[in-house]
Amino acid sequence: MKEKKELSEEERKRIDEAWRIAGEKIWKRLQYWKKHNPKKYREFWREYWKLEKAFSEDLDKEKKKAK
Amino acid sequence: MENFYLDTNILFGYFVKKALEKRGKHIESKIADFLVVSSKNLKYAVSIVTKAEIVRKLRSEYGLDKNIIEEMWNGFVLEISPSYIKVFQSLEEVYKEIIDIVSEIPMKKRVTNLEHLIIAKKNNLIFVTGDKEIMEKCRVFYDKIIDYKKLRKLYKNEGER
Repeated sequence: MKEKKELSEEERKRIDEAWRIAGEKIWKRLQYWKKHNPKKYREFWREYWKLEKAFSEDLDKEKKKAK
Repeated sequence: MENFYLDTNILFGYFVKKALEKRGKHIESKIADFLVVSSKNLKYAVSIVTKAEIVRKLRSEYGLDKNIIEEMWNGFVLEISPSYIKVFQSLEEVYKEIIDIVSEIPMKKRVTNLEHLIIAKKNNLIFVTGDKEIMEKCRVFYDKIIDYKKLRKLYKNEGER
């Protein structure tokens, strides 16, 4: 297993806070697109699920077969 | 153990999912989950090109500030522990190889993923990409190219050893 760099409490808090702010902004941007730019909103999710599908469509097929 | 150089697409899901989770919104991302879990066993690598693409997207699409993006990147590095591949080759060298490729094979997309490919090749890394055009056409130039599914299978085999 690889060694992970140890962070100070302050560094950890700064990173956590950055992710929180980013989450807030991304969420607001998505909500804005949903209301004012539905084409962009759909495009975002289409791209997102396209990647997910490229990653795991064979798994999903196996699950369906198993059912 | 082999080192897997990741294309940028595979990382976007990670950044979006993780950020939205902090907002209390859980979205499914098998990619992000896989990256986190597999990083304990597999060695991943990224480069300045990967970072540039992530920064561009987070800034232009979501309006995130420079400092926030930098801290997110630090968080990503901390969690996934990728090697940071320094590109010592000159732009001339990298693009000479890209020109060799695009002058022989008609490539429809822009050259960013080819930049990744050349970086992977110069550093003898396995290039993990979802770009079908690269997968299908560029193996003659560098055979260590795999798609996401193959990466999952390699990880599974690694776990079974």
